[in-house]
Amino acid sequence: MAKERTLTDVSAEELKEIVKDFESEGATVETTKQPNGLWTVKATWPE
Amino acid sequence: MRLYLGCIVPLITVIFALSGCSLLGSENANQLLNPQSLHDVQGTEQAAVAAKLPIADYYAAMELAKSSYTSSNVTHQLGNVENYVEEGIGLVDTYCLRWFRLVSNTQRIAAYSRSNTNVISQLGTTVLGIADASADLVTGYGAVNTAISGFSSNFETAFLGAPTTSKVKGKILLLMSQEAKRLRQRSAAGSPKLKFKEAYGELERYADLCTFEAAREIVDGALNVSEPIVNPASGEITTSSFTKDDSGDRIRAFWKPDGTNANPNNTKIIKNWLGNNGIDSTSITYFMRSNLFVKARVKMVLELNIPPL
Repeated sequence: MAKERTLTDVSAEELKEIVKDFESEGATVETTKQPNGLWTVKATWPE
Repeated sequence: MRLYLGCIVPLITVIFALSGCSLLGSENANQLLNPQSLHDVQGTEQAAVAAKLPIADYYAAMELAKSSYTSSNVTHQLGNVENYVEEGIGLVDTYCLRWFRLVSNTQRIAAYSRSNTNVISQLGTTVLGIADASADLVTGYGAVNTAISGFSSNFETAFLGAPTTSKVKGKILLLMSQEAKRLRQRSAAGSPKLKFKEAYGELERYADLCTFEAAREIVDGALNVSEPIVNPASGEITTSSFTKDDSGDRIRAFWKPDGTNANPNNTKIIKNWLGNNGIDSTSITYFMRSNLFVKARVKMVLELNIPPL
């Protein structure tokens, strides 16, 4: 089963660094903009 | 008719109990909720006089500041405006504290009414003999019950919710103390002169800090933080809110000393520490930036002796 970790309420300024950090840990990263303008970052690691 | 009278008596009892005419409607209600206020308009004669003191002082200071302003058009005569600002801050602070006390007391009364409603609703359906009572009476009883339950929950929704009131109060008082400091600096002798009407407006803005709207904003801000989500299959908390703090920044600098590439040795140290402390080690990023691990990050920084930035 794939592992997932999701951070919500990430500001636009922090988004790039969070994505890079997750990717450096081998995760596939998906970002979604929330209605309040902040971002949700979902990191997934394969089984 | 006998059935009707037999039902109306308990119904009146219910309404009486729920309308605040019971324990908390008594003269001693305030003393049950909190110790006697030091200054209280409804207290002893001396307490009532003392309670009105900041009000009288404020308006006296305002008259003095206003008259010195209009008579000579100078703004800092004899420190009148400075004194007016000081009295204004004092009065707003007093009103604010009394408002929070009233909110807190009313919340407790609402909670008391709600708990009574629950007990009485259980009893009520039995005492009324719902199965035998007329449809109109049952409907009336239900309406009273719903109205009272609704009052207590609506009050908490409309106001601040009992568990958070003290935190909201703390935040508002902190904001006010910062603003009061700024206002005092503005009005102090030697500063650029503050005119009476400017001081008047500044005090109104200061008073706006302690309003329902400001409190609601603080509560809403806290509620906007997403709740953590637990994966039902694994029991792991897989979703939480982003939080950036000093400990997280220090851990990141330790993990990626050049800002981009992870130091393999330090990665191992961090992962070992997480494992030894029973913390999810799937992702250092998640640990570093989740609001779930604020305290754990502080502990890690201390125990691994991670230096400040």
